[in-house]
Amino acid sequence: MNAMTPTVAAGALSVEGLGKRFGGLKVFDDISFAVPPGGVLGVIGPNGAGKTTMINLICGMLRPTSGRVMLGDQDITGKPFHVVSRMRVVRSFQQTNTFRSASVEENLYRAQRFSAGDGPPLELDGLLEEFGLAGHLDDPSDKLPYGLQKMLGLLMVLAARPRFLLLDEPAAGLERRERTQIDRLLAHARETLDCGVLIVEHDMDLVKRLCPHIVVLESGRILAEGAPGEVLTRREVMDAYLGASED
Amino acid sequence: MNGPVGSPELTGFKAVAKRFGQVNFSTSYAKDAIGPDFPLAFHALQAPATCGPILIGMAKERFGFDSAMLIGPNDQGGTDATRALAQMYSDAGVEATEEYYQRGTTNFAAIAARIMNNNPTSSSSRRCRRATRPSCGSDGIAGVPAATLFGIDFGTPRLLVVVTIIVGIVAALITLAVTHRFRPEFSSIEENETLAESLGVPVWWYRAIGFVASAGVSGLAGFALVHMLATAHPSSFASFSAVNYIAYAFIGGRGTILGSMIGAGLLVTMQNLFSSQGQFSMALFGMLLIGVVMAAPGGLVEIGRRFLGALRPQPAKVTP
Repeated sequence: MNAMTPTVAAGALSVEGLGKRFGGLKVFDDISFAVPPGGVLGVIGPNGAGKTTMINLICGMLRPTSGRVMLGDQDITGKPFHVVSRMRVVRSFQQTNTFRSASVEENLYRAQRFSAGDGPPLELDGLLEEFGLAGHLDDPSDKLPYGLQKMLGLLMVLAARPRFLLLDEPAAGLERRERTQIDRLLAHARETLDCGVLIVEHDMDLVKRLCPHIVVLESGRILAEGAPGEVLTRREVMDAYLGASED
Repeated sequence: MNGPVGSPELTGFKAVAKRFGQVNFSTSYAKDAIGPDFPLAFHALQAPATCGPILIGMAKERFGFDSAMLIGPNDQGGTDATRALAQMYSDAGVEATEEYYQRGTTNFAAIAARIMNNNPTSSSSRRCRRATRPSCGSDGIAGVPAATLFGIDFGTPRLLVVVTIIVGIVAALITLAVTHRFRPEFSSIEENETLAESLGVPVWWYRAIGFVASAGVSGLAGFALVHMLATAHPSSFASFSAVNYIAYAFIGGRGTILGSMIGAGLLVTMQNLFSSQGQFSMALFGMLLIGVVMAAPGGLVEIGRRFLGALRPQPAKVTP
């Protein structure tokens, strides 16, 4: 489905006809969509639909079998992981992912140091306070509770000053009351960095709140796309995805 | 009339040519390429079969060697030629050994190792001491000349110790400079390579920096060792030694120079102590390694850090 391709905004992060096979196993084929600069695109789908693989392909962890990944006019298909990151397309991970023995402050320092973003470090004091990390700056990150480790991982991605943020299930493992922190994180990213966001998520409330446009992946193809209020009421989406989930 | 041809062709031609009375001209090195059995085979050039004995005699007189190693491809032409040459050396009173390789190979590392280990001069220490024979196979390189720098001779023991200390300080400074400059990158790659790469660290580049710096420092250590001992012996660089050096770093504490020094001090001391226990020495050494790794996974330096940390007053924790 290439519905969005003809209207790709200038400077957008887009995938065109993307396909991935592992030997004889086809994960998906001919997928196209775009994330406009400063925009938010949600990608949903049942487990095994290839959502994380999609992020792996965009960020350079995997090489696609077919199709292209474009950053504006630049073809970044198959570029090494660190090169894509230095082009300021930065991803987060489903699980907590920090430098375990390093302190919270050291983790944030490293994220800023390794990134290719210009200018002074991003102001994160407010978010650190809000997320409850301000009192743990000297603590090793692996001693933090799960929720704080997860938020630290997300703040590290933000500290890398991305142009495009690829969030892989940012709310996974967070308590319901903690999930609003994702809203704050995204708002901060868009306000301070004018950052485009691709968000893969199972939490439909969060998707509805944050994403003006969503893509539904199912069995290696785009089943539907559009505004979440409209897409999530479609019969085929409910059958394929929501009907299969107890959440 | 055939030729000029080489050994493989000549081997095939000779029998047929003899039957039909054909004349063969060959550049072959092969033994019996010409001879009474094949009266119509002739050398086309002055091949080594003809000029070899004269050249070997002149070379022996000029350089005074008494052993030689001949290296040739392991096919028919190669083995014929090599054996013929070996026979010529033997006839001239030179002890000759042969080594063969697969024709077309580009990897001579294995054959170079065999040459070093089977060097015919190694059987005689008298030969090893000759200035014309720096390599003595498994006996190592003896009589390493004193190092010089800008005309200053470091041959005296006192000066050599000073130079070795300077080399050690230089190596420590290089290590400190590299590890201090790139510590966040090295630590991050060690701890979580995927996350480091996701934040923009080119892992291969820092691995290359680490490898080059380590190799340079190791080279300086090799320089110091060889000039202290005035000999370079293969046993100093055995693979087991490499395992020991890594064990020193693990036991003392990775990522710190102090850790490597503490680890080396402890393990070398204990190795010397255990050596009096004969056949149990290796088992005791292994048990020591297991014990220290279990008690201090981060190394002895980590234990020291924890101990010092426990002595410091703890700041009050702010709860979220």
